[in-house]
Parts: sequence; C-alpha cells; structure tokens
Amino acid sequence: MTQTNHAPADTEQRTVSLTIDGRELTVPEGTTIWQAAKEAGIEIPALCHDERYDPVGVCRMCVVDTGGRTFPASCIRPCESGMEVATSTPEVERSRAVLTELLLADQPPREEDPKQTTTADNELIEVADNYDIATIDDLFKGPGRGTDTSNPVIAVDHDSCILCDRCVRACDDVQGNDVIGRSGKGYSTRIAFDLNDPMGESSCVTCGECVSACPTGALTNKPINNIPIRPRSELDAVDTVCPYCGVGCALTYYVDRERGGISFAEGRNQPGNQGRLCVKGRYGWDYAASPQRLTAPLIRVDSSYPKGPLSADVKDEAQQSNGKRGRGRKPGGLVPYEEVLPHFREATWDEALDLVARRLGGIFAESGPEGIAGFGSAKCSNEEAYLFQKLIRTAFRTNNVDHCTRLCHASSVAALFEGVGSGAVSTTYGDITNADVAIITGSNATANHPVASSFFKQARRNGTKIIYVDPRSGTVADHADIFCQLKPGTDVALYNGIMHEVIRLGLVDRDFLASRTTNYEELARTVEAYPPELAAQITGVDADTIREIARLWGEANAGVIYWGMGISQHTTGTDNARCLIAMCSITGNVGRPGTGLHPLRGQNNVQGASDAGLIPMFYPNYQSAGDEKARVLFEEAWGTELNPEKGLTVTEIIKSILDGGVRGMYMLGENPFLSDPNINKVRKALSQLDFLVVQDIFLTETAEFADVILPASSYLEKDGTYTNTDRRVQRGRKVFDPPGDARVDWEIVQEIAQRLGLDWNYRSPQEVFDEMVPLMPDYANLSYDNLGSEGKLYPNPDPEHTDGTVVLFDDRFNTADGLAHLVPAEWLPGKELPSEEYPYVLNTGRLLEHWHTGSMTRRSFALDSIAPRAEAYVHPEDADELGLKDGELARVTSRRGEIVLNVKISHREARGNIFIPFHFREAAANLLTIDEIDPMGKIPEFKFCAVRIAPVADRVSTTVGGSAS
Amino acid sequence: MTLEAHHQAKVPGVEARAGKFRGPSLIPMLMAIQERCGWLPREELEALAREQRRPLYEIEGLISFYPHFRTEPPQGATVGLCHDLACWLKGSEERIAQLRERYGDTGDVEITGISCPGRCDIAPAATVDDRPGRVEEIPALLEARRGGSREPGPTVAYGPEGGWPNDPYERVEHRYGALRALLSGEITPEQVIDNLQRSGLRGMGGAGFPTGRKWELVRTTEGSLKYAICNADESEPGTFKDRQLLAEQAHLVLEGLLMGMVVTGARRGGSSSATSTAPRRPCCTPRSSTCGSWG
Ligand code: SF4
Ligand code: SF4
Ligand code: FES
Ligand code: FES
Repeated sequence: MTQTNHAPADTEQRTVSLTIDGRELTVPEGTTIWQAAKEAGIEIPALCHDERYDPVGVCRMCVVDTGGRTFPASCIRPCESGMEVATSTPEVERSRAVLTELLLADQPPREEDPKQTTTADNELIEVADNYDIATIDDLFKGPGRGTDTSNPVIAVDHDSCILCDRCVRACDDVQGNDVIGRSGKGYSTRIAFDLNDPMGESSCVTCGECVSACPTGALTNKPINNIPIRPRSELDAVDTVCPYCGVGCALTYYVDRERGGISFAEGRNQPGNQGRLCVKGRYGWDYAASPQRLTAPLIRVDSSYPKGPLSADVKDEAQQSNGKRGRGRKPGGLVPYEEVLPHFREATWDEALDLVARRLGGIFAESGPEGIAGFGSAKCSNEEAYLFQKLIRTAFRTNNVDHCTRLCHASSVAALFEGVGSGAVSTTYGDITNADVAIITGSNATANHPVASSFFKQARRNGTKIIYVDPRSGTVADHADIFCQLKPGTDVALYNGIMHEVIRLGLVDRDFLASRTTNYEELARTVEAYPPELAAQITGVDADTIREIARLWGEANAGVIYWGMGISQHTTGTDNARCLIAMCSITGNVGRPGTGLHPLRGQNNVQGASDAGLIPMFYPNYQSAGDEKARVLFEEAWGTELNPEKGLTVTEIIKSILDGGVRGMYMLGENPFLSDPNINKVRKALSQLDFLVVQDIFLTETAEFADVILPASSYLEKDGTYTNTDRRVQRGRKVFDPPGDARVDWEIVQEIAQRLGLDWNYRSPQEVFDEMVPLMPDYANLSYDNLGSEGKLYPNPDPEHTDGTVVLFDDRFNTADGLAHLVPAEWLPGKELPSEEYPYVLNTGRLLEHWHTGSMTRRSFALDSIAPRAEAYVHPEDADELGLKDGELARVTSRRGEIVLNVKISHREARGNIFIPFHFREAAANLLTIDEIDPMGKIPEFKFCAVRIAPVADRVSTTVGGSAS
Repeated sequence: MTLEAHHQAKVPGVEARAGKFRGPSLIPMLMAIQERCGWLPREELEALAREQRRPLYEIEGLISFYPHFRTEPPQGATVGLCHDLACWLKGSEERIAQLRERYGDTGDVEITGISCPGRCDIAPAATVDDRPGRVEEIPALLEARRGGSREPGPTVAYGPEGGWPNDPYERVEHRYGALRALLSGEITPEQVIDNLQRSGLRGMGGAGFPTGRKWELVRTTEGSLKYAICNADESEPGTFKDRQLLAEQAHLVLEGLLMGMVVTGARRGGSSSATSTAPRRPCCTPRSSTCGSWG
C-alpha cells in the first residue's frame, strides 16, 4: 500500500468564543479577528493583509472596535474569549475613510495609475470608491518618490506604493529571494531592492511574485511584445501548465484574442506550486510568437549535398579559420536563418511526408531495424512520446528510441530501478515540509527548479534543517544549515564517509534494514573502509562536517534527499545515486511523510516521456523491452511483432552512425548538436546520416544536417498531458493555432505512420491517452476528465476524489521481492583529472533564465534581456592569478576544443573550478566536455573535465565563439 | 457557529517577523567598516552580506535609516546641517543654502542635510565630521579638524545657577534617597504607587498612560521575569530632553528606573539611548557610573 494525501491528523485544538457584529462565533485559538469575520461572511477591508502572507498590521485599514481604548487592526489581533467586535461602526468607518484619503493623496491620478490603466484592479482605488473618495485637492502632496523601469518586464512606481510590505513578504516568505526591503525613513521611505539598486541591476530574479502581491500600481507587469495588459474580464483565460521545467507549475495565460497574443500569465493554485511561478513561467512564453517559427515543410536542395553544417558556428575549424566566420553578422545568438534557409526549399506537406516515409522506409528495407533510430523529446506531451516510440518500435521494429533523459537522469533511474524498482520520485518536492532534515545535492535548485526551491527555502524557515552538498556555492547554499562544498566528482567518497559514521554511531534503523532491505552487510563492509578522515581527504570537506552531517541525518525522524544532475551527470552517476538510496535505506528514511528519494527532473515532461516508453530498454511504464511477457503484451496491444533486442541510447546511436550502423533518423524536438557531449563527434555523425528528418518549431543546429524539416507546433498550440517531477499528470491546453502551415506533433507522427502502412486513426490526444492508460498500470484510473484543472499524482486509486499518492513504498518496494537492494559503491576519480596543461575542472549546467539549447528562452524577450550572453564563472582569486577581468574575454580550452566567452567573477565557484552554462551556441560548452559515459546509466560526464583558461590577449579581433581542435 | 481549525494557530504579527534573519546585529559591523574605510564601499557591504548570510536589503534598511552611515567616500570634511523640525523652525534650510554657497566650490568640504543629531538645544544644529556644534562654530571646527583633532564635542551643560528645579537633592550625597527609603522598607511599594497616582503623572510618549496605574498593573501581573526598560530615544518631534537628562541628571533617571524595578519586581533593566540619531553614541556613560554600585 502507499500513502495518499490526507489532512494532517487532528490535534487537540483550544477554541475561543466571541461575537462579531452580534454573531456568536467559536474559533480556534490564535485565529485573527479578520479571519474569523471572513469565515463568518463578514468582509473587513484590508490593504496590507492578504491571506497568502503572514499579517503585519501596518496599514490600519482593517481596524475594528473591540471596546478597547484604541481600534486594533483586525488582521493581526487574535480573537479573545468574550470579545465583542464591531466591524463597521461610524467611528471605524470614519477612521478608514480618513486613512484612505491620506493614502490617496500621494497616488498618481487614476487615469495614469499603472494598475488601474492595465488590469484595473487597484485595491486602494476600490476601497476609495467604496468610501466615495474621488480626487483630493486639499491635502499637501509630498515630493515624488520616482519610478524604476530597469527591469525588462516589471515596472516600479514608487508614488503608488503604500508601503504595505506585501511585496517584501512575497519575496522573502514565499519565494525566499530576500531582495526587497525599505530604504530611508519618514516621508521619503520607499521600497528598495538590495542596496537601493535599480531593480534590473539587483539580485532580483524576476519571479514576479511581488507583482502578484502588490495591491496598487507600485509593481506592475510591463507589456511584452506590445500586447497591452488589460483587465482579466476582457481577456481569454487558458488554464494550462508551464512549458519549461519538471516542477510543472500550473498557470493561466490571459490571452488577447484581438491581437492574437498573450497579455500576461499568472500562477494557478495546484497542490504543488500553489500559485507560484518563476521568471520562465511568468514571463518566458513569447518564444512561440517569434517570427522565426518554421511555418512550412522544408526540403534540402540538391546543391546542398553532400550534407554538412551550414552556419559558420556549426561548421568546423577548417572552414572557420579563414576569416569567413562572422561575415558582418553579430556574433552569437541563434542559428542564422539567412545562412541556413537558402539550402532548403519549401514543400507541401504531402511531398515532405512522402519523402520521409519513402526514405526511412527504404533504409529500413535495406538495413533492417539497426538502420533506424529516433530521438523524441522530453518537451513533448505524454501522448506524443507514446506515439513516437510506438512508431519507431512498430514501423521499424527497433528499440532505438531515446530522448534527452539519457543526458540528465538516466543514471539515477538506473540506480533507482535496481534499488527500489521504480525510477519515479518516492515523494514530492512539497513533502519537504514534513522533513526534519533534507539533503539537497548536485542541484542548483534555485536556478533549475526555482519553484520547488522556494518550498525548500520555506521549509527551512519553518525548521527543516537543510544540508546542501555541491561543489558550487549556489544560492541554495545561502539557505542551508550546513553547506558542504565537496570537490567535484567525489560524491561516493562523501556519502560512504557519512554512512560509515552513521553506522559507527549506531544510528542505523535495524528494523528497517532487517525487514525491508537486502545486502546491508556488503554495504557496511564497503563503507567500513571510508572513515570520515579518508572521506575528508578525498572530498576536501573537513571530517567534523562529515560527522555532523552523519549525526544529523542519523538522528532525523524524517529525512529526504533531493538531487539533480550534479549526481547523475558523471561517469559514476549510477554509483552516486546508489549511495543516496543507501543513505535513505539504512536510516529507514523511505515510505513515510517527509522521507524519500527525489531526483529533480529537468524537462517539463521528462518523467512522462520516460513513463510513455521513450527509452530504448523499456516499453511504456518501464516494462522491459527484453522481457518476453512485456513484449507479448505490447505485441498484442499494437497488433504487430516487436524486436526483442534492447535498443541503443542517445550516445550509442551517435557512435553507431559513425560505425555505419544507424543510417536514418527521425528527430522530434531534439537538438543533440548543443546538448550532447563532444559536439565534434556529433557533427561528424550527423553529416554522415543517409537521411535525417527533423521536426521542430525553429531552425536548430541539428536541423542544418537535415534532409527534411517539418514545422511543428509549440507547447502553446496543442493539447496533451505532461507529467512533472512529482508524478503529477496535468493537462496542457491549446492557446493558439499553429502558425502558417505548421501542424501539431501527434498529427505529423500519425501521418508518417500511415504512410509507412500503419493503421492509425487517432482523432485527438485524448484518444491516445485512453489507449495508454490500460497499458500503463501506474496511470491506472486516470482520464482527461478526472485530471481536472490541478492534475493528479500517480499512482492514484481514486482520482475522482483524491489528489493521488504522495509517498511511495510505505510497506514494500517495487522490486520483485519487495525489498530495497543496497548496492555498495567504491569511489572512483573522474575520467579526466586536471593536469599541468589543463589545470581547471569544468562544470556545466543551466542558468535560471535559460533552457537547454536556448531555442525557446533566447527567443523570449524577458529571458534574453536578463541573460543575453555566454559567460565563464571563475572564482575571484583564480581570476586574479590568471589576470582575468570581469566582463572581458577568455579562452577556455580542453583536449577537444576551445571556446571564447566573457568572464564572470563569481564567489559561488570553488577555487580551481570553472562553470559554463551550456545554452549558448556561440560558446557551446559541449565543445569542451568529454563523452565518457556512466557504464550503467550511459549518461555522459557533463560535470567534470579538465580545461585551461586564459585571457584573450588580442581583444579587438576576437569574437565570442568556439571551435574544435 | 463554530469554525474549523484549518489554519495553523501561530502568533501572528510583526513580532513573528522580527529577527527573520538570524544572527547578530549588523550595526557594529557596519560601524567597523566605516571606521576602517571612512565610508561604506559597496564591495564591503556585499562581502558583509555574504559572510553573515543576510540579505543586502537588511543592510540598506540600516544604512539608509541612520544618517551616520556614509555610502559615498567623504570629500574632505563633511558638514551636516540638521533639517528636522526644531532646526527647520530655526531656519536651517536657509543656513544650508548659505553654507553651500560659501563652501560649495572648495571641493574639500561637503555640505549635507541631516536628520536630528539630538542637539535641538543648539538649533539649528550642525555637525562637522559627526562632531556636533553650533552653525557659527563650523569654521572653527573645520580648522580643528584640519589640525587633526577628532575630539567629540563637549556635552553642553545648561543647568541654571541654582541647579535644576526638578532635582529634590541638594547635595550629591543625598541622591538616591527615595530608593534607599524604598529598599529599607521606610516606604512600601504600595505607597510609591499611591503617590504616583495622586500626583497625576502620565507617560508622555503619546498614549498618556497614568504612570502609577502602569506600575500597579505590572506589579500585580504574574510572571517569572519582568523587565524595566527606559526609553531615552529622544524621538518626540520638537522636544529635546533625554540627552540633557542623561547628561546632567542621570541619577534621577537611574533612581526612577531602579525604583520601578523594585516596585514591579523586575529583575532586569536597561536603557536605550538616542539610537535614531547616531547608533551607539554614548552621552552619559561616564556620569551614570557614579551609581555603579547600585546596578
Ligand atoms: S520579482 Fe521576485 S525576486 Fe524580484 S523583487 Fe519581486 S519577488 Fe523578489
Ligand atoms: S519552476 Fe519550472 S515549471 Fe515552474 S514556472 Fe519555473 S520553469 Fe515553469
Ligand atoms: S490590513 Fe490590517 S493593518 Fe493593513
Ligand atoms: S531637530 Fe535639529 S538637532 Fe534635533
């Protein structure tokens, strides 16, 4: 059995009785008068108070008469026994009216008010209207306090600010960003960002939470792409889900149908994100409206064969070094359409689809299943992933189908399958509230899972101890009780050291070990050899910290581990994850609220795409492709014979192309050119393919190698379900029609399937979902109807009535014997250690503002304005030693290539380490990375390779960019 | 009707937010930076925030509240002229303009308007590099500064010839008489309260609460630990007394504080002084030590 969401156990609650406006009420002790009145249906006007935040009682709008000497603020005054409250006596009303008048005196006129003229929901104006206060001319107006338009999407009007502190609480208490405070005193006091810096230059991460908190026109959204912001009632509200990360925040787009664009987005309440969003979700949706969208099928022209890369940046060094590159175009940015498009001609859908079917079909006929492979995408819906793998598996009888999960959590999933029999998270990100101790490791959660991280930060403020383990001192470190800055690639040694100490202290959970696990003795024997002193030597973390962590973890009643790609993207990725599983198992920290294992999933639908079978070794729902029973099941369901051989993974497919194996490929929404390790090898492989069809919404680097490019639909243009990191299955809803002749992805897949002779006749994604559910036991009982507006967690025995299962494994694991299998791991050093020639360790990852290869985010006005360029992050002392200056250019070189990019001096790096985000094609970090893979998860080592870095001496003639060596 | 207990019972309010960011007071650390650098350079503030793991905005709140903190490097000497109420009434605005005209272009004297430095007695009050003085004294103070003098200005004594009329003690050795009487049992706490009530003494912080009633309430309240706090924060607009009292008649303040503690049963006492003007600027420490043995 598993645990489902239920209300917290009833605890003995003391109550008080009082009367409000003559009504007798009994409320729990501690309830404020305002709350009690509200629940009794009595509205008391409030300005500084909002139920989302703790009350502060600064505006006095909500005062009531309790018969005392003064009128107390009801939003903050707890009910007392026998209290007699009057909420609206003439005196009280007069006090409120005067207050409103005083506040209004300094406001901008309503026809200029930034809120009243946009969403028209200025709460102060509403109160003023209730008190019939129009314009005020008999009050002295103070000197203006100014405006601040430095943030690309948020406008600040200090004159509209009533210092209600709501934005401060939103920024601190909800998002944990701690940016807004107050500056000055007396009349000139105003809200301030950091050290009273312009908002756009402050540490603000543009999550927009403060905008959603502000009752007046002080903080408002700016229009994006000239689509004006208008009252909600004039716009079309579409409830859907954020297209970016695995947190899967529920949101509402307010759509201006007249102008055909989104006016603004708002967080929506759902048990996970609870209305919160990050900058990508709230402001990053305009990529879909980019004029660069592909709108017609494209076929490569004859003169552009033999195939090869087309744009300067994607070409190799030989072609670059003769001064051709650049050609007046500004360096960097996206694929230059003017360089690539001339190599293609527009075609009709029929022509393009026929060609695809003929060529792929031809290769299959010649080379058999080994000749074909498909890359799907974790950005596509469950239905699309399902159809895509079904196409590859049935039309080409091959299991060569994979997607970018290979590049993120494949090793975690491998370890989880082996250890607990399921690759999904055992508890949700929100369950951290129930944990005493949480380990967050290898995850820059504030950037990569921003909304989940806001719950982590909030949990800490409520008493959860946070242990952050990471070689980079990301913002999570600022919120950690213990920050453990280990040397890169030493995770196994660290956790073995911690487990050694947990065992030595006798803090293991004997009962749990005896009844729920196997192989503990072996594990104990292995970690025996890792006393904290040795672990300290390897990891660079001092032994006392290791001991402290061990004690904290061992003594915790409920401990949970969240991890990211810092664990999985190593050649020892599977071992790293095995250690985390062991950490939880030996202390009994699985299967109860506030305990468990949670690999934070990257893409919005990486969980769902894997669930739906977009992986070479599994059919949908992780039914092994090598397993006879599973194969028969799917052969029956799909009415065709299937290939019993496991397929190849992303990295293996690239290799197979070079070895002459795979000859034809179908890529749906995947851009391996930037996201795969060792770009040079990828370039060679892609040029060598006999036939490549790319289905995408923009020209990508990968599309330069295509024979046919099919214009697909963006997330905003289709219906479908998406499964987030918590196992929450949610419905994404169509906002717009696809532009031009572009079509929705599932239809394109179906067209190709039909042309390859398959008898497919799906009329909607819903039909596909209905076909999937009976084949996927985890998704049992789910349907489009019962997913509702908030989605549902799987497994879910009763989706009509419950949100689903939060905590898995409360009495058995998913393994065949129901036990957790502990697998000990020995520490192995990284594959490419720093040397004299390459003395620095390169780490790669993402920025808050950008997403993967940047094809979406770099086309978003907000995101591109905030983070426009590639930078290498260097510790200040390393920079000093090397003569690197902030903002100047540096050349970073590895054994595989070199790139030139700007230096960013950053206190968040450890000495000897360099961090480069991989979103920027003009300085593609993956020119440098090594394609060594984890033997089990087959995941590349993105987080560790040796490089050197030096200032670019000749600054004038060098542009940002990269090349192979 | 009865409401369900679906929201957590937590003590709401500003109290819950105070101390949101754990850790020691940042003020001494800011003072140390200013002492070391002469002002508060941005890099120093960022490093402080990083080391203390406190948000930058918390620092901004402090440095923008206390005019004492400089966020720009001083250009030679800084002359501050108070622009708060008492001084404004005495024409400080005009004086600032005059000073700007006089020193405006010299480059080594910077003229700024400042908030009340707690010297309304000499309104319009000025400071030269934080040393208070009369406007007429500015040239002399600048001169002294050039000579390297960093002496804080004298505490001005205004006592009338025959002593202050509010002081019941003619001779120093008679001081603390009332407290002695209370401690020896000559008068009882109840009598003290009774006297206070009959005198009609009220608090003048704004609420006008009768002092005798307040002492009585605290005395009869159950509680293991009571605190007596003396607010000497000189914050009523246009008045100037706390500094003078502490400087000239600290024994009365202390006696009152101690008597209050005895009557109410408070075990701990303390005083906050003039923090709204310059943080931690003691003006009475030497004098109050004359009764150290009572503490
Ligand atoms: S946008 Fe977000 S981070 Fe920036 S000030 Fe507002 S709440 Fe804080
Ligand atoms: S946290 Fe992830 S899902 Fe949520 S708004 Fe941000 S990018 Fe979108
Ligand atoms: S709403 Fe209660 S004080 Fe502002
Ligand atoms: S008002 Fe100027 S010194 Fe107090």
